[in-house]
Amino acid sequence: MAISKDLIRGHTDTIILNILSQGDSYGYQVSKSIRLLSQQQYELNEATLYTAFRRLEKGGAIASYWGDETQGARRKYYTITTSGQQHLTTALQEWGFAKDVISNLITGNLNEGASL
Amino acid sequence: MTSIEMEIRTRLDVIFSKYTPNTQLTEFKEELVADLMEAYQDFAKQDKSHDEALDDAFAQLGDIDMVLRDLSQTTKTDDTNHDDEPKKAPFIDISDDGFHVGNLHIDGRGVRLGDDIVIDGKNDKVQFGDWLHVDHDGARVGKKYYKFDDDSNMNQAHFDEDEKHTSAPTWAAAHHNAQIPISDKQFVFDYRDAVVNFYTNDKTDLITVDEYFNRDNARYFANIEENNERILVSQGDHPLLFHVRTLINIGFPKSFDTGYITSINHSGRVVAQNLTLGTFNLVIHSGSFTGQQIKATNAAWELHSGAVKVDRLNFEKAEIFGKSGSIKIKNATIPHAKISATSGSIQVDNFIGGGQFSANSGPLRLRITELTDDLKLHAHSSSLRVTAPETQHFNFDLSSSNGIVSIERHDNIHFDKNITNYKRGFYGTNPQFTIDANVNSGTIKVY
Repeated sequence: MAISKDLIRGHTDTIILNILSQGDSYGYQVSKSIRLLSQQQYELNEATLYTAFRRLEKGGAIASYWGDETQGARRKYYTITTSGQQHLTTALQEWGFAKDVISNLITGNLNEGASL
Repeated sequence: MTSIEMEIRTRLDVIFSKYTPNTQLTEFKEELVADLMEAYQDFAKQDKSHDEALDDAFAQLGDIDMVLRDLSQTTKTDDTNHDDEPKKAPFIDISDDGFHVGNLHIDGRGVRLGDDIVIDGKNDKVQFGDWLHVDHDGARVGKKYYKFDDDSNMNQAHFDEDEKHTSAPTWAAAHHNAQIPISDKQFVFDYRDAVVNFYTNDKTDLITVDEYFNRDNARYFANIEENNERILVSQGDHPLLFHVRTLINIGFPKSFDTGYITSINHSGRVVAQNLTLGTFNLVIHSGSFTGQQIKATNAAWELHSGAVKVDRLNFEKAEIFGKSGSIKIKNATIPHAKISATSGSIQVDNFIGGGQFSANSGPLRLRITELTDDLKLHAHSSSLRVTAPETQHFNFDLSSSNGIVSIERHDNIHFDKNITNYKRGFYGTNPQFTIDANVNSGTIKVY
């Protein structure tokens, strides 16, 4: 079983913001964090991830800087901005509200009176 | 600079060479170098050769052409300060790969207009802007989401918790239970659009069928018919006007190794775990199949548009056919395998056995632990990558009509024929089986 792309699609930005709110990170590490957080049930391929980084950076929710690795290639780190933090808070509130309502809507039973 | 970094850079140069260089592309390339080096280190732990790990690192990137195309267009628009407008110079590309004009793409994957209008035949997906999204799982119109097939209580925990199969889901308003004595006849389970869950029950000679519905109406319960050859369990009435949430748990006795089971499913999902059967056949039209720990003498699986993801298979003979979904198999022992995909990819890890594998347009990636028979591999227009057994000796016969064929072994290898697109010979001194691979227009790599 896999999570449908469309079901999770609207949450990609929030997922990334949640990870970055716990510390600056770079592409490959974020994609590993996503696998870890989802217990291997969800993978975001890097192409999608880079597209999202770009979109978030353009929108001002995240910023990037180059690391100062002394050996090997330099890493590009992403960091969450204040505006991104606010975005995340709002998204979490929205989700907390929506998940119960949606869950009730798609699993709930109308009582005895339900006429078929 | 390490040689790995150098190789990664060289490969990226090739990918990037299709685009007009700009600052953003250069920065992106730097970013990818660091990520790919780390991915390479991770794959190097499981892959045994350098090249293999490098290929896998690049394969996990996904399709970055879209990102590159975007980035190569950004500068032009940034210059004129119109960030959101596409570049003025029309981009037209018509080739065997498809038809591309500006951000309209028509190719084997479907139809896309930017990100807004998508008709994806491969994944059965239709999308118009942010307003309408339809796929296997549901439809979202505006802010409303309609799920086609409810299975939210079957998450990953489901493989670990057997008791789930016997307890009713919280939403169930009706439970229908049937017990059928086992027999040598074929059992056919025909469900149009339910989640069907095969597991091992605690009985010795009974097949248990538990059906859960979120509406209580006996019309929905399955019908069971028997004739001389088979016992048919078919889904009950199904209203057209509204959705009835349905979950079907089908339990087999622990070692039902004479069992002949056929499951037919139109648009639901099928899950199977811990089964020991004689024959386990599947026909799934648009749903997917997930399985774990399945043992059978024979298996024939046919999936039209869903994906197959299975772990720990033990079959004497298996035929797996996927039309447009991908096939992912881990830890499989199949002496006589016949696995093919028309447009999805095939990935098999830790394979013991032999047989035929063919992919038409998706990539074929095979990691073989041991050959017990000859292997015949075919790909039409995609790449074919095989990790041959580490110590076992083998013959090889690898040809591509117009791609490159390479075999990454240096010692103990003998070539009868060794040209760019054709390699034949043997590895080791005492080869018993042959890896025979041919592709029409892609590349072949044996590690």
